[in-house]
Amino acid sequence: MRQRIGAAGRIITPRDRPWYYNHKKHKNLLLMMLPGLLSLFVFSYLPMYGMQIAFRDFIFKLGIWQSPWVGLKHFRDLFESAHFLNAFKNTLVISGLQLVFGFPAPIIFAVLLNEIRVLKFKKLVQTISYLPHFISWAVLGGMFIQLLSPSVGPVNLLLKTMGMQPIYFLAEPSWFRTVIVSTHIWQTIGWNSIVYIAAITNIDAELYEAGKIDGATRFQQIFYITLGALMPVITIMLIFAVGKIINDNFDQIFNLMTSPVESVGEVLSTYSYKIGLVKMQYSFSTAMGLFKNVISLLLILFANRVAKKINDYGLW
Amino acid sequence: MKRYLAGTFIFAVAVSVLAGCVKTPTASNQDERYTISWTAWQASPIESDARIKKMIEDKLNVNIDIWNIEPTRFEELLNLRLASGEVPDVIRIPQGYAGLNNIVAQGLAAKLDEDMIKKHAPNLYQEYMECDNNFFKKYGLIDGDLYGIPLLQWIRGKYHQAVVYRGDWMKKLGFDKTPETLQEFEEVMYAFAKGDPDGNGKNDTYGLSNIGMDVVYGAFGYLPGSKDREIKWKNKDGQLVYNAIQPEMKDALRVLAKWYADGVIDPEFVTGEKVGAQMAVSFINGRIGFTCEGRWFDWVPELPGRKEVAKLRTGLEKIDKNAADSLMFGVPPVGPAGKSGALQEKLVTDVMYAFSVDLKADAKKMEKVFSVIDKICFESYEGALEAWFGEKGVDWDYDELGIGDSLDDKWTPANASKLGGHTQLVIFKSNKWKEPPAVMEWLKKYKWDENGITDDLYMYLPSSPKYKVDLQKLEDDAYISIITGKKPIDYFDTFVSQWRKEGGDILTQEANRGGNN
Amino acid sequence: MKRIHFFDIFLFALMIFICLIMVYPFWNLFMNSITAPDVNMSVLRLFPERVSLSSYVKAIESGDIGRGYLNTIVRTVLGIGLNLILTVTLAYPLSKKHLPNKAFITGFVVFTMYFNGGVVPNYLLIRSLGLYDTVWALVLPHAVNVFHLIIVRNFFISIPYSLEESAMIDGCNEFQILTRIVLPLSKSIMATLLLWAAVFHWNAWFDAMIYIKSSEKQVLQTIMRRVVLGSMSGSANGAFEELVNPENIKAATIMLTVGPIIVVYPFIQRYFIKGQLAGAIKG
Repeated sequence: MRQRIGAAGRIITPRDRPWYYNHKKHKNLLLMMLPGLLSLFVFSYLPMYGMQIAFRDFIFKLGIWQSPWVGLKHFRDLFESAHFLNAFKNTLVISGLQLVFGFPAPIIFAVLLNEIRVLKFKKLVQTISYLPHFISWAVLGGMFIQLLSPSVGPVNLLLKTMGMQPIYFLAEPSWFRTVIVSTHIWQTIGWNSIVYIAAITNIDAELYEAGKIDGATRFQQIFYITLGALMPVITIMLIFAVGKIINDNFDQIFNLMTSPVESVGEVLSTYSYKIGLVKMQYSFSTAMGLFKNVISLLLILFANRVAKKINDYGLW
Repeated sequence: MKRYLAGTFIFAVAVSVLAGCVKTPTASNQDERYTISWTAWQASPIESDARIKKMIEDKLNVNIDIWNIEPTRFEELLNLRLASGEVPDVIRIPQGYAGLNNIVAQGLAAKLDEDMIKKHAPNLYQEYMECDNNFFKKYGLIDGDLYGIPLLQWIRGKYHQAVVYRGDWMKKLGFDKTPETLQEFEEVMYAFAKGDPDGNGKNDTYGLSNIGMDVVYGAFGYLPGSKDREIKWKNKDGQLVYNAIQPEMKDALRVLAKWYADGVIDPEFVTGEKVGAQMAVSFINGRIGFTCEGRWFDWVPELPGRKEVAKLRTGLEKIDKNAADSLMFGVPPVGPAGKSGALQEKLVTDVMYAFSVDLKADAKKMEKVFSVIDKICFESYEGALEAWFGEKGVDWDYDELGIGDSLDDKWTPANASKLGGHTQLVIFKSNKWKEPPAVMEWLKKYKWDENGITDDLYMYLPSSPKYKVDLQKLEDDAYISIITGKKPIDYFDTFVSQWRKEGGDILTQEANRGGNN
Repeated sequence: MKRIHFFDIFLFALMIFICLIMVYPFWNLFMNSITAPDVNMSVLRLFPERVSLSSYVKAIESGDIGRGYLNTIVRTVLGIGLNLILTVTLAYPLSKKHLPNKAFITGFVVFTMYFNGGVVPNYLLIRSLGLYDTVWALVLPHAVNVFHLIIVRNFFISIPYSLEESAMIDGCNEFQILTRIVLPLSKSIMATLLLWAAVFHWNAWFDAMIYIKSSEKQVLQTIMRRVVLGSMSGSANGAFEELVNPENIKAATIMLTVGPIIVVYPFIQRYFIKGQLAGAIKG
């Protein structure tokens, strides 16, 4: 830290500077941020007054500011609502399944891809596997509905040619979660593997050489060297994945859900949408969103802290 | 001659003076051009320079502001605008009484006055009276007050669902006419299942699946619904009773359970014949030989003057042309007690229109709204055709059978909607719309208009949201497990008492509370 | 040696299998779109029985697709521009340790990821700002995506500070450092950001459904949804006849919607992978 000598020969420490000293010094930086912060202020903060309808009974004719206060009524209703509790449960179950099956998938994919020695082929596989990430669920939804259709969908036509009964995957409660989890893996396996592939490329080639000299088989190399080196990244990713367990993929479920599977498919975001926009219970819906967001924020703050502690890696 | 002329002159003066007297006070009102905001089902959003809309607007001296709302998300998008304080004068409510109840509870809908409707929408009024001479005291009510006007569906609501057999199978098995009694029906069903009608040497065909069961229940006088069949209540001697708990249903279940045990019913009936938006899949794929799936216009053969394609028949045609050409249509078979029936949709639908509460303050505008709707949709066939297709002689004309049709062979609902045609203005479809005579004859011949069983409930049951899901599940489980033999027939009695205890009695009370006679 | 050889073949087969699974849905869609409309679809086929472009002709003839393309392109280009500028100008200062009130500003930014006012106040805001039924309603609210912002910021942190310091000694101000030193080093993350913004705006549909009323201003996704979901609105159709589009037309419309992404994507993917890595790993 450079120090300056004041007129009286006293050393001016940062303590003595006016509070805006740094602001003045970095006014360019602050100025630069202005448009971005302004945009966030206008489009994110200004509408936040709307959160108060969680504590009011929203009456359309009166508007948000005039509707009567009801305190925590909607939050109490929330925990008495079987539909809410069911949606809460479904969210956790689907996220849990996605964690168990969807989390390891890109790791396995990355590790196996690393074993491919033909570079051109490896690149091709990578390119193809990222593609689904860029297609919206509005499109993918339509695609899967057609693909899984019991009458014209190729999956069921294949089942039929094998002499099996067609299954209506999207309307069968016992199948719906399987469909959600597997289409989720299908969409994200390539994209989520990027982080692991990068970490693998950073592994020192000498490690493998040493392994070979020690007589490690290829499987042993994969297991001890590759996976071993990936462990820190895996830990971090796992912490954040756990931190996101209450978040569900609205677009995916919304575009795939049919009414017969609501009992297992209705998650917090779709339920909040339905009860708010379709059934006009905005206050209830807002209370639900608020509840979810608070938990979500707490989880991610916790995950961030844990990650920083373990690995000095954080989102911010 | 002179005297005659003089007489005419005096008469003409008298008329013009009288007319003038009447006219003067209303002249200013007629000049005032109201703007009515309006929501409709749209095949495509309306363009800003919609030609057909402009034509009708000028004809009726009114501006109609049609809100573009994506039909795939209609409820949400409309509700969002309602919540933001924007209320259209004419509010479309697709979710029936539940939706109307929400809008009334939010104080957004105007209470309607039957006399006003009668006066300013006389054709509408007359048509609704034709449907039920107590219409506005029965339908569209919330807590006894009139708020909504439901749409009527004359094309669907007058004819029951299909009673259709695979004609090629019938012929092969030696039946030359469709069954008329339950006993004959049973014979056909057993033959379908056991006689290898598709001739592939495998025992892979069945008589019927879940929707075909309609006529079996019907032969015992009631029609229980199921999770995707919205029929629940029947008017029995002035009391509404719940179909699924009637003792007659126990006899129907006994028959069905026997058929199931004998392999006549498709075991897949649990998941149903319908898959997603696709109807009658099992029938079309040659798995079952009988179904009640679909309405007449889904199966109707090509008849002179009929333009639309029959969806299900063409679906079958793609797979088996011979089967599609040899379909046989029957009547619901008569049961042991002389009863018979097939499901019939309600003439009064669940889609309703309500009117903005702001119109309450402006009676003149309210009257104009009703008169505009009456003139566009109900006054005459030709008027409705103009709002649907456009200018007569340019966009459309009558064919040799007197049916209005577009002159453009590339006409589509989406393209017409852009111009303000199709359902943008014709928000109610009147029974003045015509079907070709050949179609009417065909419907008469196969008695599509006889023995339909409809849901007799026309009110909103306040406790329905609370109990509906659980009771439906209870009912579906009971019926399925009795048919499949997992539970004995006597389990029916257990089901009935459980149903009544777990909310059913409350629903029955509510159904019979308000002015139902 | 032999076992390893087998393992390689197995891997090779597995990867090909994965690729097939990834590509098949798109292939199936494409196949449906070019199959002649009168072919029975309920038979399993890998290649179309009879090729016909009539579905495309029909889809385009409706006239909406062309307009939808135009509106989506306008939206995407505007969206990318705004997104790049606002994200970079916000991410760069946030990557500096000496930014005054940094913790507060970071909190201010991150908070918006978790809390929002809800759809009604957002709608009222757009109306009162006069943005309703304009393309600005579609781009301004998404000008800053906080998640992307954080990744860009992480990338900027990874750039050695010494480079900037020397520029500062040469008398450059922060704006000049950003444009002359930092941005040229950030091509890959910029490409990534651009792609994200492009894909987001290309795929977005919900906001357009709420904020756009004129049929002349509809975006491609809205039109595509209407064609594809038309069949499901049967019940909403009430007393009127149902409108169901044949599978071929649906497929052709979806193809037209995702086509540009599938065509452009292989050419630019190598840029963004680099950026994605740099942003995600460091931090």
